[in-house]
Amino acid sequence: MATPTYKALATTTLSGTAASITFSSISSSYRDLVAVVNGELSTANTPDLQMKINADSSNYSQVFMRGNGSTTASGTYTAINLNSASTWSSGRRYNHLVHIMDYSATDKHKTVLARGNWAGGDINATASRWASTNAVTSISFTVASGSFAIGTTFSLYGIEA
Amino acid sequence: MSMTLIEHIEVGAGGANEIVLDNIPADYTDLMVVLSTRLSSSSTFVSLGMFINSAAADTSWRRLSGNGSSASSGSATGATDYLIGDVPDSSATSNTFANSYVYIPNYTSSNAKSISSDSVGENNATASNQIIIAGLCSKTAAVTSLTFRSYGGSPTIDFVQYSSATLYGITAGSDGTTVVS
Repeated sequence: MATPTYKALATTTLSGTAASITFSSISSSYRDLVAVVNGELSTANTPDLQMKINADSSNYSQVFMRGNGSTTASGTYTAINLNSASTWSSGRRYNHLVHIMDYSATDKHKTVLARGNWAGGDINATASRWASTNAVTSISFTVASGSFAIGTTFSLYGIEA
Repeated sequence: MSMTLIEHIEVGAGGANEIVLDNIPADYTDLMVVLSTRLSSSSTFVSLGMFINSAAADTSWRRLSGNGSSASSGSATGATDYLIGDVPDSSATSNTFANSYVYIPNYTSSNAKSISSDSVGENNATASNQIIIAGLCSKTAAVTSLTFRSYGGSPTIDFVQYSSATLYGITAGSDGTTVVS
């Protein structure tokens, strides 16, 4: 039987639209972090959802794979893009599950495994690296254009080893 | 505690054609299910499905899968069941079980429910199917029941003994330190 390990760190349900959400002052008391983003955009744009660590604009590498119900694709980015096909828009309910391993370690680069799911369009699985030995103290979720819709939820958990 | 064990079911001797997690309380933010399953028909793999509440043709999903030699993608709309993955069957290597993980965020919300799942059907031979799924159940009522069975709405194939399903509730909240802005 698995040992219950999720510890709630912070959560928000948007009461107004927002272009970016940031979790900051993250405690170093856990082994891993899990973020859950569930909802829609307020606009008809189709931007990618991008995650940044400690407000760093570089030092990322990513491999993605995705399928859209008929074809598959794989490629790379120099950013953490959570839905690589850039298909998130209003009326499209996406969920994103993000795992950040050993986030407080100062002797290794950080690994991020994530899923971006839209049942009406595509399914994304990504593996990313943040090339820094700094501890993760903040993470932000941003869309390049448009905003997250009212009711979209963002939750962050700490995972104990 | 943000992660709470709600229920664990293990199939006994004689098997069972469904595993039902019923009367799920509305006390949590998200649901997580961990499955270890094997079925008992004469194939090598059989698809495993998840039936939500009393859903009727209101589930859609997109699949991305790999089997060691190729990748493929598929989809369904208006389905009765959510597809989870391929489960070893009687022709698969003895004692191999599929491992599956299902996550349902905001399961009590009045919106449609989005679903994420990962599954691998282990055969310890030439075939092993890894499948990830994005799903949506258009029902707006809270999720109160999850039924696992062979995919397609006809639970005529039994899970073998020791197949299991474990349901957790995940509760979002604040630790008083982390700031969200």
